[in-house]
Amino acid sequence: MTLSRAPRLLPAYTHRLNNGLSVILHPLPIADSATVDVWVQTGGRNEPPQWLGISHFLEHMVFKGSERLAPGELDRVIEGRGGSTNAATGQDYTHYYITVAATDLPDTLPYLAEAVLRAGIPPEEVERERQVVLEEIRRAADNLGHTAYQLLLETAFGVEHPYGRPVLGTPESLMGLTPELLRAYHRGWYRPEYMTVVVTGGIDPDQVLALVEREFGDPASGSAWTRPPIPPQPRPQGILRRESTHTRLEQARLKLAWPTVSLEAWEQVCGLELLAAVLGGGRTSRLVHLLREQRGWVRMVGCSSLVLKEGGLFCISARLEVENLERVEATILREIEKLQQEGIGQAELDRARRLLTHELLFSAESPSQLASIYGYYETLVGVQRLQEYLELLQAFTPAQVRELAQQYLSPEAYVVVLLKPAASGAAAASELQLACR
Amino acid sequence: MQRGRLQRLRLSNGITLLLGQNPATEILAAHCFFRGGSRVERPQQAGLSHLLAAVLTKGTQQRDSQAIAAWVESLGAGLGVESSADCIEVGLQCVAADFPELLKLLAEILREPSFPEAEVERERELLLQTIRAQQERPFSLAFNQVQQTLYGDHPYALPELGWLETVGSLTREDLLAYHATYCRPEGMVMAVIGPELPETMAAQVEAVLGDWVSTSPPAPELDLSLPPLEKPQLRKLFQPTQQTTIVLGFRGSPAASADYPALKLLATYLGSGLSSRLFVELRERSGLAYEVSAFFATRRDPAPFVAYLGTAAENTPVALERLQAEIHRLHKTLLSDEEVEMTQRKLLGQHALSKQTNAQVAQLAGWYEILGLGMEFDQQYLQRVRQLTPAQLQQAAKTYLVNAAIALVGPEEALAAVEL
Repeated sequence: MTLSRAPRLLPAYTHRLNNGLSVILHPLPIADSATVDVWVQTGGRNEPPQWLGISHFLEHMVFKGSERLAPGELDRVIEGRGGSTNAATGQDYTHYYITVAATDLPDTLPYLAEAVLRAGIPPEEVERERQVVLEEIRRAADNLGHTAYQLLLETAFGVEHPYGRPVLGTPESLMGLTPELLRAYHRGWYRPEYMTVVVTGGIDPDQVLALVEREFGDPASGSAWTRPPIPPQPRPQGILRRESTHTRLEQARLKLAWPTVSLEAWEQVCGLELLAAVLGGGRTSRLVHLLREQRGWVRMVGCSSLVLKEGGLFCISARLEVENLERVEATILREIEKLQQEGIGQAELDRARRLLTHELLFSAESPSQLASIYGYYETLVGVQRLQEYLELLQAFTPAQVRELAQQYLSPEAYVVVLLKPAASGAAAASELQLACR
Repeated sequence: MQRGRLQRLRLSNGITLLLGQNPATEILAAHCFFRGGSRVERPQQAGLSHLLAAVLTKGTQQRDSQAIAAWVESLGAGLGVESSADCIEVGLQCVAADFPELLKLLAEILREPSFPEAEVERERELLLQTIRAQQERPFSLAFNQVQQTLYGDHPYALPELGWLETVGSLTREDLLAYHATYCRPEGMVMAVIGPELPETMAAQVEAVLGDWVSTSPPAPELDLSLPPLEKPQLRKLFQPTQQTTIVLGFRGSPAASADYPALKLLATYLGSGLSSRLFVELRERSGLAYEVSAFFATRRDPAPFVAYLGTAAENTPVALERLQAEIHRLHKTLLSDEEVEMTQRKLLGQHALSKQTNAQVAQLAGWYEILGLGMEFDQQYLQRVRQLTPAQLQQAAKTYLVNAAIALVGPEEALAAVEL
């Protein structure tokens, strides 16, 4: 009944313009909206420590206009037509997107191109926006989930590696980012050879290609920057443990991580996704079943394989009561050893394949979701890998997934991050009550 | 395309089916709604509907929790239960070919859940932990304060997850009684959108749910009164955070009120998107916040209208003042025609963008239907939004955006000096 072969999920049209820009177009006949998603191959990965946060700060400044656009004009033009716009910055990418009624595309896409390609970065706006980014950093600091994740990256990659440093930057690093620096960084990276433009939805591909060529087709001026060399991903020789206490934390957080592969090892990347689903995807997965459903030792446990251009981590996270920390960590390790020794069942692997295949299918229904998937793949590994991913999910055998577990999930060498509440639950509650008026 | 145009069908046992065909994808979304949610909870049972949502898929007369999960997961489907202010929602997403198979399971879960004692006990324990963990989130803390101020003895005052004291004493019998009273065919709404013909999907549903009859008496219609708010109120919670979270709440209208569209448009004007008034004034021009937003909920009874932001602790007084000034401005100043037209286009466009997947379309139609508005409300509401004038918006602001419930969560030093 269910899909037994890999579904087709490749984009309908892929092009490379003469200036090197990658263009991906995918019409969805049922959609009356269209999404334009512009991806740039830069992010935290390319930042030297003294410029920490520059990619993300620049992302904010793109919305502050150009010679021809006033600050905030892009937002007004898009939202005033009932569309939406936003952007995001990661370690390996920065992207900007608009979703509009399909008929508005010719009148709106040029604004996005103007803002992204010719960001003006006016000094007075830089000063104003710096305050906004500082608020964003404070907000992240108040978010304990974010704190835990950042601590894990810092511990696993180390501060010498860009992946160990926060994409938002720090209050100190942010103060050193000048308009000149932001402009130079923009010229060096926002160039056609480092960019992908994806358009999906209710579109005519020929018309849209002409539009993209007109708006994004100019050759770049000046010279391109190249990716700075970075140290290899550290591999712990034993158990690297980091504990911290937090006053506002109500429940402990436990994160275990193993260094894995970079995106270049695509086959392993796909296999590690399967391994994560076997261990922690869904109620019948091994860890959720045992630790949450059977024993009730955790409120939540999950497993994910984070893979980036320059390295990867296999992570297991749990939220739990402090008194369960030790036995949960020990049980996770025992379960991994059990999997390494006894292997995986065929039905267990089939469940994981189907879960991942459908997850991707379900997350690619709307134009904006699909554009984001295409842009992400093209920027990180090349969009054709998307089909390979779906096919590899079907091809893996239980023995191969077990081998990956044996190769990467050593019970003797891993990183563990623990966040514990500083005060007991009762004290925290009474503190709250006192403060309430 | 037909996806936007759903057909309504009533089964003889009182189930309302909303059916739509979308041949463009093989994904099927089915969402079932029952009246209930926190609105029907008695204060001493706060959290009951949430606990029901957590345990409903954990056992039926024929299957235990793992067998249910194995069925769903082996087909790569998603099945979830959620409780909100006015209803319980059971959502299913799958590949259409698997629907008949999963429908059998869904029917079993809706009709004869067994609420196994061990599952109830564990989920109750984990829910207690979740309630505590929610205190880690400043916005949740502040929003709960605002709800309590706005709603007094009305159940909308109750935190969605319940209190530690009430959840701790909930039993399997409470769940059985709640299920018998609220999860029943009369009044149930089920919205299904998939690639098949509506007739085909209707026949599939009817085959498994058509003979469902409930044996226990239905719940009495609750008419919940709300005494008027007399004055603005300020609540402070001290937390050692870097930012202060400021939440400003007002008691708006029910969704069925003629004033609902105006309040929706005002919330859009104030806080929706990067060109909204609050975003431009408080973030873009003043650098006072990263996150600043506003929303107006859709509910049976008067719904909360909320504006909020997070700001550096030392900015607390100025940010609160600016936020309040923006509300006062809506009382005093007529918005320009241009501002209103832009906001109308924004609301209409973003509303369309929120209906891009089968699940989103099914969810919205079912939601309007269970609130008693009917799925046609969607078009009626948008039509009324198009006709709103600046004077009507000002009138709505003067009527509803008064007697604010304000909650501040942040460091004591920053909050101590703030007074109304």
